[in-house]
Order: sequence, then structure tokens, then C-alpha cells
Amino acid sequence: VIVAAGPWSTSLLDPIGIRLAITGARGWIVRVRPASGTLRHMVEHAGWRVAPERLADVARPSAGSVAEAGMPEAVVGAVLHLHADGTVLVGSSRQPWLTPEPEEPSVPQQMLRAGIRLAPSLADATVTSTWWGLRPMNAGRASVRGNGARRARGRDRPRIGGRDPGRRHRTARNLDRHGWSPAFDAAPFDPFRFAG
Amino acid sequence: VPDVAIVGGGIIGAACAYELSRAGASVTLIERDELAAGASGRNQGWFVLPEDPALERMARATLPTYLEIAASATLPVWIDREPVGHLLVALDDEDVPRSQVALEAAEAQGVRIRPLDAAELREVEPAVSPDAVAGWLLDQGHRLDPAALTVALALAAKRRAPTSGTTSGCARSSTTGTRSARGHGRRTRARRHP
Repeated sequence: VIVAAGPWSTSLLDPIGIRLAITGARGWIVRVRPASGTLRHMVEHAGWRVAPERLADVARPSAGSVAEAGMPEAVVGAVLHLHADGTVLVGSSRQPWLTPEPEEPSVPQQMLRAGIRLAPSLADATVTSTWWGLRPMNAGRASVRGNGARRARGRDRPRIGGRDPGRRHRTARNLDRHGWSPAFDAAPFDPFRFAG
Repeated sequence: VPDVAIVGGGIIGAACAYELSRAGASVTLIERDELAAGASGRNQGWFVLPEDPALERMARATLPTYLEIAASATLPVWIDREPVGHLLVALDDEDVPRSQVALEAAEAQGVRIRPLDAAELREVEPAVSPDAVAGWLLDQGHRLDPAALTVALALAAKRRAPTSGTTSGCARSSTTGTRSARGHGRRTRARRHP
């Protein structure tokens, strides 16, 4: 079984004792139709790309920090590109997912301010839509990816493949039969690397 | 019983279904909403090499698959065939050192980087603010439609099945199938909390 349910993977696996350090980070997109001109490249404000901020901004806040300073604000950058239909997609933002509704509905406004600062002619563009989604995130930069075959062979804790050794063996045999093996070292993506 | 059951119809689940079915495994893809209902259908649609070196090899292997899928898909899938260029822009002097993480990562991955002064920057991308002080043009970057790509991957996985059939409420084949649990609107799904 491959669980590829993004931020919902945690709640799917928790009942069977698999606890993943995956959270959700909300991000918005604004679509605008430029009055004139175009963008030749994928354009990004360099200041947005600061690794420490990008890692910290999705962490779940402490109760003390929320009590002191309120809900965490969205980190907003300017990331622009021309879409095939002639509109421009304006991103980007990132905010911990803590409530069902957007924690900060003014984020599209902040994004447009950042986008217009980067490309001033966007001020004359018509806003056609905006939406948000949830990125699966974790405390590190690498994704979370289990190696079923190795675990099924019992080289690690028998969490995938079940506790039945025969079943784990059959799972591994099936994967081998299909020639399935990682095309790269899967160790950095171990879903259990966050365990204490 | 399929060899592999995949829970989640985003681009990761669809790509797993595609690769496993290509390897001959029987696969059932399970999605409670619709394909690409979550982040896979809502992101901006950029393909650039990630800063984390652990992800580089996987990313490089992914792009040819995306291009192949887009070319053979039964629905329109927009993706740049060639990189359009990823332009990092420093709007003030403070942005210059802040860009180093991205530039060093790109350089380590062998991405060609063209430094640009303010005049060159405006020539390369006239829409950029006249206040910008510097830029770097990275020879990478494909724009794509992530939702269409996700659906195309799932359909390509299903096409690889030697036989196909349907059961009530879902489309499924003997080798590769897609099960989609309907009844949850996109908004309903997005509002759910993990």
C-alpha cells in the first residue's frame, strides 16, 4: 500500500500506529489578466528564497507563541509566470495549516503588493480569481518516502508489510517480481527519520 | 487484490500508479474526491530543480516522464518543452546575499547562471521593476499545468492495463484501476483538517 495523501496521510496512518511528521502549509495563488505586456521568464523575488524562513514558517507554533503574538502570519513572496492562456499566476505564500478556514484571508492582497513591487505593470491587470491549497510539508526539506521492499524484508522495523513475516516476504517477492526498486538512494526520505 | 493499492490521487499517487503499471504491477488508485483535488491541482505549476541535493536525482528523472506523458496524453497538457528561464530578482541590496542559498544550490546542480546588472535585467525582462538592482537568470524552469498532468499520468497508467472494466461507482481494470469516491466536493475536502 502506498499512501500518497499529502497532509491527510497523517490521519490515515495514525490509527494503525504509523506516525508521520507531516503537516499542511496553506498557500494562495492569484490569477490576473495583464492589460499589456508579458513576462518572458519565471520571475521570482530573490528575497523570498531564504532557507531558514522557508523551513520555520511551516512549523506548528507553540501555545506560548500564539498567546503572545497571535496566530502565525503567512510568509509572502513574489513568484510570477505567464500562463498559456495569457494570464499571469501570482504566488507565493506559506502558512501553517491550523484551522479549516484561511488563517489570514488578506494574503492575496499581500501577494499582489509583492507582485506589483516586482513587476509594476501588474497594477493595471484585472484580477480574475484566487484560490488556496494545502501543501504537504515536514520539518525537513526532503519529502517523505518509505521503502516498502526493504521494510518488508524485515531489515527495519516491520511497520510496512504488516507484522506477519510471511506476508512481508510475499510483499517483497511481489515487488521484486515487478522489478521495482528505487532509482536513487531512498534513505534521505525515510518517513520515520523524525522519530526521536 | 492488486499488487499495489495507492491511496491518494495527487501527482505523487498518479505517478506511482504510472511507474508501477509500467513495470507490470497491478495497481488500484484510490481517491476520495477527484484527481488533483488537493495541492496537485492548486499549485503554480513550476518545474525547477529543488534546492535539496537529495531530491535532485529524482527531479531530473521526473522531467522526461512529464514531457513524455504530455506528448502522448489524451487530454491537453501544457508544459514547456524547453526551459523558459528562471529569473531571480534582487529588488534592493539586502536581497543580494539572501539569494545565495538558491544560487549555490543551482550551481551545485550544474545549472548555468547568468548574473545580470540592473540594465541587463531590464533588457532580459522589461516588466521587472526599474528599482531592481540585480538579477540572475538560471537556465532551467518549465511551466506546466499540474492538474492536467496528474490526470494524464493516471490515465496513462490505466491505458497500460491489458483489460479494463468497470464496477459500480468506480472505474477499474484488472491491472490498473482508479477508484474515486465521489460525494465530497472540492471545498469540503479542502476544509477537512488532518
